[in-house]
Amino acid sequence: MPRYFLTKLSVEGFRGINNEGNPLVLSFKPDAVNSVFAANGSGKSSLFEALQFAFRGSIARLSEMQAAENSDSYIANLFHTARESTIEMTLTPDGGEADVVIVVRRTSSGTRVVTSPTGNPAPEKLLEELSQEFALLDYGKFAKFIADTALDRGRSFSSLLGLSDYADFRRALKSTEQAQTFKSDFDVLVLEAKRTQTEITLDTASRQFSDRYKEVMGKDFVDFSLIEESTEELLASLSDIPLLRELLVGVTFEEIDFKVLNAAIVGAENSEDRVRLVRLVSEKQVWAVRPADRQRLEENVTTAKQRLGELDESLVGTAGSSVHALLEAAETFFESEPEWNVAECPLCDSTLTGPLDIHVSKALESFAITTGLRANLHTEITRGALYLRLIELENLPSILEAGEVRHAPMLLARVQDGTASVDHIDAALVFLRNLEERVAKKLGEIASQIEQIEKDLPPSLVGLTAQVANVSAARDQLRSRNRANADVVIVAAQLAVIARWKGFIAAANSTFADAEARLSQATLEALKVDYQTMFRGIMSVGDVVPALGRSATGEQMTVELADFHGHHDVSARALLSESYRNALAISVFLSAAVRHGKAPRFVVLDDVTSSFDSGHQFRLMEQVRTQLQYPTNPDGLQFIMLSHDVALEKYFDRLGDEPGWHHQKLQGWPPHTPVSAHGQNPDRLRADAERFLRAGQIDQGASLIRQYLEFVLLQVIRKVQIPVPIDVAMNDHSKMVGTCLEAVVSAVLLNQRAGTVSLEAQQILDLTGRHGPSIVANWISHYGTAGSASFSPPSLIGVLNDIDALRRCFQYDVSGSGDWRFYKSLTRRS
Amino acid sequence: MPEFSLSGDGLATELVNLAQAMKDVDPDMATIFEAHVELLTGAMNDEQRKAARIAFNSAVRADLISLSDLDA
Repeated sequence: MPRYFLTKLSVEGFRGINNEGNPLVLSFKPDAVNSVFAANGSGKSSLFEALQFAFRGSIARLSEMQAAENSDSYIANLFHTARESTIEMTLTPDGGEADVVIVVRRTSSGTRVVTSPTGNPAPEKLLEELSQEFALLDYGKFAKFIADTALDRGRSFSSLLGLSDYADFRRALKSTEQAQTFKSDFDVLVLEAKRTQTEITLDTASRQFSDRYKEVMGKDFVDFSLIEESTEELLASLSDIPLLRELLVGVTFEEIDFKVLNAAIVGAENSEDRVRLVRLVSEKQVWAVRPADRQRLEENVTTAKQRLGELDESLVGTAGSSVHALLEAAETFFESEPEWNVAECPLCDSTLTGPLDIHVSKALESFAITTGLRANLHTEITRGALYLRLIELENLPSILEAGEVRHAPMLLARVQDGTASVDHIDAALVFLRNLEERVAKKLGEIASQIEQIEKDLPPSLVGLTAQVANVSAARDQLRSRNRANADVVIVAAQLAVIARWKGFIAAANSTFADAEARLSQATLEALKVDYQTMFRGIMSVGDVVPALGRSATGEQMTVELADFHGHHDVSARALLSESYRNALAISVFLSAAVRHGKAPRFVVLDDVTSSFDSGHQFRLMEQVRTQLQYPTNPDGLQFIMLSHDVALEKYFDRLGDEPGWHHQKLQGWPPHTPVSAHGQNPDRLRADAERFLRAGQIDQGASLIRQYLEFVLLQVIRKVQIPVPIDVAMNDHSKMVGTCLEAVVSAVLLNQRAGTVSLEAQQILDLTGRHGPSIVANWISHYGTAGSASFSPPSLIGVLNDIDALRRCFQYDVSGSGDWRFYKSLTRRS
Repeated sequence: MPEFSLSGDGLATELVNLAQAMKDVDPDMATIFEAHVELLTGAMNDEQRKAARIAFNSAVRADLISLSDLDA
């Protein structure tokens, strides 16, 4: 896969850059350090943000704003009439392939449109590949790297090393086995509830079959391993009855048609009472639940209350069930590994003294006993006589009165959510007793009606009716039992395979996490010499040695000092000053960037030396220029430095003519003028100024004249080596151009008096008597005070000509054919 | 724990190798893992991770239920 240099950037209508119809265009050389200087407010940050927006579709600074601040409305330049932003990038592959041009446009409606005029088939994907952590670096990123928690640092480090795919996958994989969401995603609670319910059904059906069998056969049912023999016995009990024998010839137990049997009995009697009797016997069988085991019930209620008391007592020693629930929720939150800084409270955003996830984990330890007691209570309730009897009775048809709710599910829910109390158990018990009374009453009513009918019917047919009804009920219960049995097997198989998966995914998670940690450790170790050497090169100290450490199991990364003036393994965050911390982060980031093999073969650095003094700035730049920049380093990168630092600008300016360095300066006065970029040749700056003036746009033209004059004066100072006082060199204020001009003239006159000047006499006269005074009178003396009202386009065009002529005072025509060159110095022609 | 290490050659290749290594733990589960693991890639924030997790677990659950039907 080719890697790309950024060789051209064009911006219009984006953030602070209006440039409507006249985009700001910067060219960058792949084989040079590219420096871009811009005074405050002249579009430098907008350039950096333009690249952020192009690669990532968002701007970090705006994304951090509150939604109510409507940050999206500030992406387009406020003065651009179409409110459209256009960012065009030219990317040059490092393998010699054709350039790729990508245009990112943000329409007035906020839609992002990505196209490639050069026909790249997937420009969005290429932008995604270019969106690497190291490609766009600013001071904030370095500061955050040191200040971050170990976990966040480890994660950003993975991204920096091009291992973000691995880190992201690791987190996604871990989320699949997180306890709460796993249960929910795999319906574990639903399946467990279904299993419980099915087991109860199985038990009830088995018991009722057994009861019916005993009723018919007059003996106890043995067990279900002999079910075939038992059903044969039941069938035979009916086949032995003369009235029914013919109807059951060749019929199996499963095939018995009880409607036909009952019709035969009714036919034999031919009585409506017979029909009623059949119905009442069937109804009696439904309601004839096994009598409650009072002793088991009382023991269950007593034990459940005891468990509840133990749980409550245990909660007293903790911060209470609400806090327990909150902590469990917090643990779930952190187990899902959200992108949350664990040094901040999720509820109020306040900064904490320690990582919250560790605190939550420790706090939950005090609830460990409580968790066990809660499980005991759950078992006592869900497997106890009270709950099971409630389910049995509440399932009887029409037992509940209008408006009554079932207590069994209510009790289960309270046990599960931790709100169950003794009162709830008592209420369930009272309700159960009420239901028992209703069952007894109902059975009494049925028995009374049956008794009344039996008085009017022959006894033999009464018994026969009951016998047929019992065999019918036995078959119904057997069928119900078989269905429940099959369901139990299915649910158990589902739960088993889910448990098997849980074990598997946990193993996959550990396997991948361990491998990812080992890879990160190895990568970090391979970087060690690089970042330590660079740190030493920038800070020029040998006895402060940084060392990064990666957790063997987690994602945390520590920043320590292997050596700090003889102290070993001490905290870098605590000991290092801001500039040292910054240098450490820069060393790590740039060392990692150079080893990176991903799509961008460039690094854009935005004001990364804010905390450095001039000496450290110089050393960092030298590190970049001599160690990291391609092709000085064949594996190196293309560097693009954005800066507003005047001291650094002098350094850029000095190197601007050197091979391997390409310097540009942003000029302009937004929002009054467009922003333009100028390299060592200021022709475009001058041409822009003249174009504005000829169009009558005095404000725009005037501001460019100042920049043009400043450029020419600095060019003269540098070329002919005029000594400039240090305060002029280091400051950038409104009187700077006047002071520079004075310094230039004074230096010429001084050398003239000393007889050492290389300029011709006419040039000195033109400088001191004509162009210098004209520039002062027509421009400098008005610019800082009167504004554009004092100027007219013709007079300002005259100033431009005076500036050109002033420069000519320091040049000579080599061959008389217009090949003008600067004097070597004020005292040497060539 | 199976023998497995990352080479740094790209996640897609690594996941094929991971699925292969996990066959030593449980071949059936590893097959299901391999079939759906791509759903977990590319999630870079909480929201994307949540969506990826739900899609992955849902796909896995369907396969597990089919497998359990065979077992039952």
